[in-house]
Amino acid sequence: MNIGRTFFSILAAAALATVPVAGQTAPKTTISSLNPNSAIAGSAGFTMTIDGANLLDCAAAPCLAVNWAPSSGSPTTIRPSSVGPNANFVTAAIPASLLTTPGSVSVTVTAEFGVSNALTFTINYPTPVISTLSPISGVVGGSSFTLTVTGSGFFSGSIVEVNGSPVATTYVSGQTLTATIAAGFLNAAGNLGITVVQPNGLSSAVANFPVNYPAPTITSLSPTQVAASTTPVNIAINGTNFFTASTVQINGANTSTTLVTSQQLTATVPASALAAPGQLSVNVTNPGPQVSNTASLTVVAPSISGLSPSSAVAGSVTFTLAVSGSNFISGSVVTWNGTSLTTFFTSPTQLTALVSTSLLTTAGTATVRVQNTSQAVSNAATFTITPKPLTITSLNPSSATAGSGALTLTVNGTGFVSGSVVDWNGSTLTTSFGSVNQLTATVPASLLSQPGSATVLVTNPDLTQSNAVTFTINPAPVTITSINPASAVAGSAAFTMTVNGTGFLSGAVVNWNAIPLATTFGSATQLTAQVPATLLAQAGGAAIQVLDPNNTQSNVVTFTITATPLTITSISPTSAIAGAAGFTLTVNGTGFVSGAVVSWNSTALATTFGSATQLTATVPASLLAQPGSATVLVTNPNQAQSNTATFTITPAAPTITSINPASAIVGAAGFTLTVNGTGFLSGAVVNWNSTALATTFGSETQLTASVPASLLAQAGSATIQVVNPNNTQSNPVGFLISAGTPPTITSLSPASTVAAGPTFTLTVNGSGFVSASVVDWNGNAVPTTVVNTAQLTASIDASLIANPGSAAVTVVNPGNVASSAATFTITVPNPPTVTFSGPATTGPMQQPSITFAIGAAYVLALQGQVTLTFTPDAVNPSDDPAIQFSAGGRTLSFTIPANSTQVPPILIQTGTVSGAIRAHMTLTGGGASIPVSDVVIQISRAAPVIRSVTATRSSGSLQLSIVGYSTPREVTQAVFHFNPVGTAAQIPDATVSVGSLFTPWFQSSDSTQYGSQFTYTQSFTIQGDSTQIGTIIVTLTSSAGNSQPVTSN
Amino acid sequence: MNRTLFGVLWLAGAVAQAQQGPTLGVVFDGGAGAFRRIIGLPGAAHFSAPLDAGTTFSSAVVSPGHEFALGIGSSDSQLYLIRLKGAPVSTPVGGAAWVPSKIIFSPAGRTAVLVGPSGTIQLAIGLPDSPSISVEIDISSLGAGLQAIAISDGGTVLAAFAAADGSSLLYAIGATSGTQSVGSAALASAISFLRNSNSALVADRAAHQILQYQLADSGAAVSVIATQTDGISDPVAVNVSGSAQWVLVGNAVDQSLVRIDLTGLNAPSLFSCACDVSAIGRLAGNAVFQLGGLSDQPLWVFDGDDVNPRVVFIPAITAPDASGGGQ
Repeated sequence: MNIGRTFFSILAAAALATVPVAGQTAPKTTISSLNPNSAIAGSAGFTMTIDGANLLDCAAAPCLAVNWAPSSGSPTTIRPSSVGPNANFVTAAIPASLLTTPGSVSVTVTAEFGVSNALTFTINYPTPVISTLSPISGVVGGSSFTLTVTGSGFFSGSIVEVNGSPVATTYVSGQTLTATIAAGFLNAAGNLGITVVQPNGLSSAVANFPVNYPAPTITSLSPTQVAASTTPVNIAINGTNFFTASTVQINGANTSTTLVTSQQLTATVPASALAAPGQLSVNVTNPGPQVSNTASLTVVAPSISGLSPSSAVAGSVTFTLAVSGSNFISGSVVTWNGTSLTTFFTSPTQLTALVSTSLLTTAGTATVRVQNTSQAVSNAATFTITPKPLTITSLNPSSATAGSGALTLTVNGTGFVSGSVVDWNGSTLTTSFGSVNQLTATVPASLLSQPGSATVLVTNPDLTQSNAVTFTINPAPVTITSINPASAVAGSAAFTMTVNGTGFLSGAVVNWNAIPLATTFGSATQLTAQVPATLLAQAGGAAIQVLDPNNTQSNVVTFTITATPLTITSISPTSAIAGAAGFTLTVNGTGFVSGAVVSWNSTALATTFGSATQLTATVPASLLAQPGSATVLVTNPNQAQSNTATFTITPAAPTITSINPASAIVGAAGFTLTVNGTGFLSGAVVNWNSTALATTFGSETQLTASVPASLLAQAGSATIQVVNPNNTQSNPVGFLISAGTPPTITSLSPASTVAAGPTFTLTVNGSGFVSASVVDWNGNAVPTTVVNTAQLTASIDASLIANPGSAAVTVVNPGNVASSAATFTITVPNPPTVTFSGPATTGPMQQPSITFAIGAAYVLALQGQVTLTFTPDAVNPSDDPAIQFSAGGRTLSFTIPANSTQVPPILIQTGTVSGAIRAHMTLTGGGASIPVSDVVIQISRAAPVIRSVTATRSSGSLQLSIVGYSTPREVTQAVFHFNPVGTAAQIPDATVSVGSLFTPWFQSSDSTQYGSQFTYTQSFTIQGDSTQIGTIIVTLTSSAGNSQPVTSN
Repeated sequence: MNRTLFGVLWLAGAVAQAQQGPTLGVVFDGGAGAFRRIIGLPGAAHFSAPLDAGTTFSSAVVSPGHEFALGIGSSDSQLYLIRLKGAPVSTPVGGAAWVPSKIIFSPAGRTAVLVGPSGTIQLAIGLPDSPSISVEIDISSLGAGLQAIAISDGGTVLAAFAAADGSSLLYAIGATSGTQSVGSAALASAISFLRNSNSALVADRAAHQILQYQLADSGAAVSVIATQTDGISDPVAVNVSGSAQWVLVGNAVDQSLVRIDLTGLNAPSLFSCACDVSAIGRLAGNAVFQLGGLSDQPLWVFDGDDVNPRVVFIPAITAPDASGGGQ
């Protein structure tokens, strides 16, 4: 069809078009709108409707087409999918492939009348989306780098912007852009805002790119050690990634920090950190925080290497001590045995100090140290103070009198030391060190007993000896200082006199009025002498004097002989009962002489002289007939009379001959007691066990007394006694309180009950019950009601029947008179039904539960115990210690509280050995056994089970470790199938007879703890390339069958 | 016997065989102050009598491979390394600044972190043959409290500290590399490194998810490997199998366990256990884990090596000792 031919009307099958006739303007194909007229790049395809006119297909051949001509890229045509009924529109499917690139598209339609006018379709940019950034963060001070931005909606021309500033961007794909981030963006910490901007200005959401400080590192410290000090010091820290914001921590505490360069900081070490030697940790922290590695700064104590001078003689004058060493500071102090010296700082290696003479008085050593701080003290250096020479210059005293006793000797001199000893004629004295110039020593009396002289010298611990000095012992004068005794009573017996004094010599004699006495020499200060009784006959004095063998006489001392007074000091006895028989009276006193007479109320008694201090006299019964008193007196033959003593004659005591009644029944009423006897006085009282009864005086021979019922409540006896007003007491007489007839029990109602029941009333039938009768239940009284003499009732509390058993019931009357016991039976309640079951069979390595339940709560607590036993059924039988309860062991004990159905869970482990596991339960309630059937679980013999196969290859060998178990405890054969790698040749299976390995194992005691478990190791020697062996499949065999084949890992 | 390319020669005189029994590892019995072996396989195991190490210990932690342990001597509070193969032998380890309150081993047991009493840690390296203790590292400034900590076989510590808002801040800490902030979590409760890797799993009990941190010199990349839809709920413990394929997570809310396959070949699976899931330790095998610590109750074990993974118990230790003995 062309524009120049004759036009005619046609009727298309689906469209009717207006066709121009001849002479008219030729019809044209036009389009007026596109719907839609735009899309987002990358969107899905859609159907476009194009309105227009004469949108007819060609008659000869299909020509209707939509022409799609993008501004960039190749044009294409699209066959419309439909035509409007009046050829006024067409629809065409626009595929997504035509919408990938933003830009404009010229759209025309080719139809019967040619190509239409063009309309523009717009493909817009989508909003870009950022999903990830790589790297995810940067570091302050970092170099420029390439940032990979991934997301969607990226196009050539998309630009990455940092904080709104575009940066060099490379389009990689619709999902990836790369951008160069200049180092300038990394000057400070914070977030960089990353966006992607389309050529048309459409921007993505901002993605934050964090810029963090990098972790600083410490490479070195300068210096690495500092002296302990009381003042801060500065150090330099060398490393990397240092910033103005960087801070230094000393032992974790921030300290003053100065940035020098990015590789160096300076920091102040505070004085508090320098107080003591040790290690300080040094860290640098950047904000973040980003913490560096830890460096160590050593705080060192001062050290002494030498002293000058290093010694002095004791007593030297003040001098200057030079101390050499290291780590000294201005402020270091030199100490001398802990005392600070006036110190001058010369340099870190030298100090000087003044040592005063007062510190040099004593020989010995001094410890010298340097102290920077109280905790930083140097090593000790020793300064030696040498002693002066050892000499004795004087003794005090330098002499003593022989026999004058021990003395303390003061030895003066030089060079004495602690430990120096004083020698006395070669004997060492007990010595005390006073000073370098003085010692004191104890000279015992034994060394001073005889006149003469002694050589004194001093020996020091180093065995050096002083010069010798003489100590003089002068003779002592003969003197008496005391005698003992110094007196005696005239007529005394002979005695030994001790004479004390000085200057006594062996052979000295004690004279008594110039008469020498037999004398014994004791020491230079003591004699003893025998004084015969003949010298003591008369009162008077005697001159005592000592005469030494050299006729030297002592002073005279007087011995006094005194006269004796006549006195009675005591008599024995001092009294008697009126009417008593005669007796012998002993009179004690002084001054009695032979012929002295004892008188009794002026009546002379027959008297016997015993000694000057004792007489005896006979007192006849006639003098004792009446109560009263007697005056006792002694008269010597010279008619001298002693003082008097009084003898008392007391009245006679009452007696009880009988009482009436002499007994009563316990619990009886009160009564009147008649007491017969003698010597009863008006006012006499009858006592009942020391308790006075209301008493009536009848006569000298009869009393009556009222006995109240309260005294008859208990069986037993009472003591009856009469006490006269003069407190004389009669003989005691017994009164019997008899128990009487005990009650009896003939029956109980009820006679039994079920344990754990409620409180109930017990009726007790019998005889002999009284109003105070009480029912006892196992020895304990229970609340009792007396019905009559033949019946009681008692309330039995539930707590008394809580458990099965029996109780002894008795009736107790007053006086603790009890009946025989009647037995009350407490029976066991009917036991609950018990369910105890488990699986009849199960496999090895299982952990089944055993069902345990009771049918209903039981009124009593139930005690139970489950015990596991195992009977192996294996080719090589053995116990299996893995068979246990989950709670451990093979015994499980438990208690089910009363009125509860809560039972313990029972979980067991079956182990790996074939056999029978028997669970046996013992269950008791109230002491009664409740039968429970055993649970028996059978573990069958089964083929071996392989849990794992581990292959270990090495050059020329292959080792397989096979872990598994075999319930019969038997493995007879192992088959190994080797899978070749790739196209390598097939390898024949290896069959190994392993009975000779497994049987000894399963028969050994070592295997028992594993049940039937084993780790079987099989090694092979390989010829060829062992890497050509792939996996290995292992099968084990026992008499119970073959295992499942398992492939090595 | 085929000898075309290569052959397997089973020569009667050259084939070596050996037989012994399997053990699940070693546990420390605080009551006895000694170690006990776990004799047997999961489901049929029991404890041995206490092993005589020549001394007793107030506390000890067994290495993941169960070849040795680090413990504190009862009498001298000294740190000891105790070798557990055969008869135990204990050797003092010098350098510890204090008695550690906690010892955590790396997955292969080559390093350990010793947590001190006052915000400091020390690292034990060269385990077990050449043990040495690093200087103290002060971590007190990194947060309000240490929430979880772990150490890689390479000696990098990953630790979670409480932030002011209750969330967790994670830091990578090295003995020589310093401290680096690597990320955060809602509430980190447990950390576990993968064997011979700088990759660590972090349990986030507030977000109910398991995160994987890949540590690098410049920081860390983090990804989520399991969430509540996978069964993670209030996770408090996490550990990884020896093969690094399986992850076992302990959920505190219902005492359940979630097994995750890091290869993605298997969907997460959930296991219930009426036991303590707050601590998960490795036992012998690939994916056999001890649940909780030793007590007077049964010790529960997750047996992930079984064809049908299951939770089983090891019978409790009774007094007097009813175990089977053995060394």
